[in-house]
Amino acid sequence: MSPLGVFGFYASCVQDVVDAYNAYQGGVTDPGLLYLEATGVKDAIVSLAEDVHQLNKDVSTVFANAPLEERIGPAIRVGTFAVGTAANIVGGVQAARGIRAFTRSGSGGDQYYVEGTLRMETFGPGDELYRVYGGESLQQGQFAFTQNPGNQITAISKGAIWPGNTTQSITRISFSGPVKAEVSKVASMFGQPGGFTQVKLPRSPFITFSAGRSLPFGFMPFVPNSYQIQ
Amino acid sequence: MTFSCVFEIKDGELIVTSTLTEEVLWKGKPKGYDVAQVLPIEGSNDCIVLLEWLKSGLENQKNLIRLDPYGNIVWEVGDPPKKAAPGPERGLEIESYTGITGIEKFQLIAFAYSGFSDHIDIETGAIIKSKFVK
Repeated sequence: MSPLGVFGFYASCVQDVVDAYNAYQGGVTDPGLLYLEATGVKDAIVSLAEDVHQLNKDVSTVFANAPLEERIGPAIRVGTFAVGTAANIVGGVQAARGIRAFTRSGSGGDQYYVEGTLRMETFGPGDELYRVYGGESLQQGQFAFTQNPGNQITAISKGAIWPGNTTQSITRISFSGPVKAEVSKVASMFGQPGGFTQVKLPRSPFITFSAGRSLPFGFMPFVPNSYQIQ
Repeated sequence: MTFSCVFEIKDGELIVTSTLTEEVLWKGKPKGYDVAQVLPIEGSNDCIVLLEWLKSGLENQKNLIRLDPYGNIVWEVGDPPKKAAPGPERGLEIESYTGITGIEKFQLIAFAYSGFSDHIDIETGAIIKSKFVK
């Protein structure tokens, strides 16, 4: 990962940290967030948010056209932060994402929600989709994602999945012939941001659901992308 | 509760046997489709049968049914449940159920290919509650 890639990763994490903190401020009765308070994770996230804020200022300075002497201090702090607290920020962000994901609530919708960016695409041999399921949701269903979420937290968050779907399992979908399907972007639901690209598959003899595999929780630094490594 | 019938699936066929006489009361493929799953109903000699969903679905046939011990259909479910779920994507075609996830308080819980979890009254076959679980 390039240095800029690292900063990009940190930047993408900031919103998750802020969201979790705001969720705490807005809903102290949420059991997941009370857990967060009780375990001290909240303090870590607040501290982390402050560190990230400083980091953002420092990164701006480091890459600005300021004189070298003005950039040395921030550069040192950025380097120290990146190396010394990488594990902490990753852990904190994952904790924030996890708490937000597993404290999702909602009674279940009567319909599915998309952002209105529907289009039709044809899938065929060589294409693969991924379906996350568990609990009241079963392996063979028409909704799938274009990417493997890698873990439950990412699936819940990006897929905005209702609590009745436990997301404990994943199946890979392949095609033996052409299948025309509706493609859309997952809208925000159940306190989750959504954002994944989802496919609504018709009933077709050309669709095969692989044997299901368990999907890990996701309290790990990086999301595994390979279906095989789960 | 002891049942006076046992149900088994062999080569896609449902076989209903009396436990009292060991007589086969009925054997066959309901509606002509392979049987994927069968559940006895407590307090009754009827059973809930899930038929192969893809073939029946492609032929626009309902695949979740209640049978009596002689293979007669008591009810079948799969009409577009407009009242239970007014979403625009339901109400257009027959549902295909891909599995049964449980029985709770005389309600059958089944998962539809469309992403809905339906709670079905075991006595009437009516959909009582429907939730989109994706």
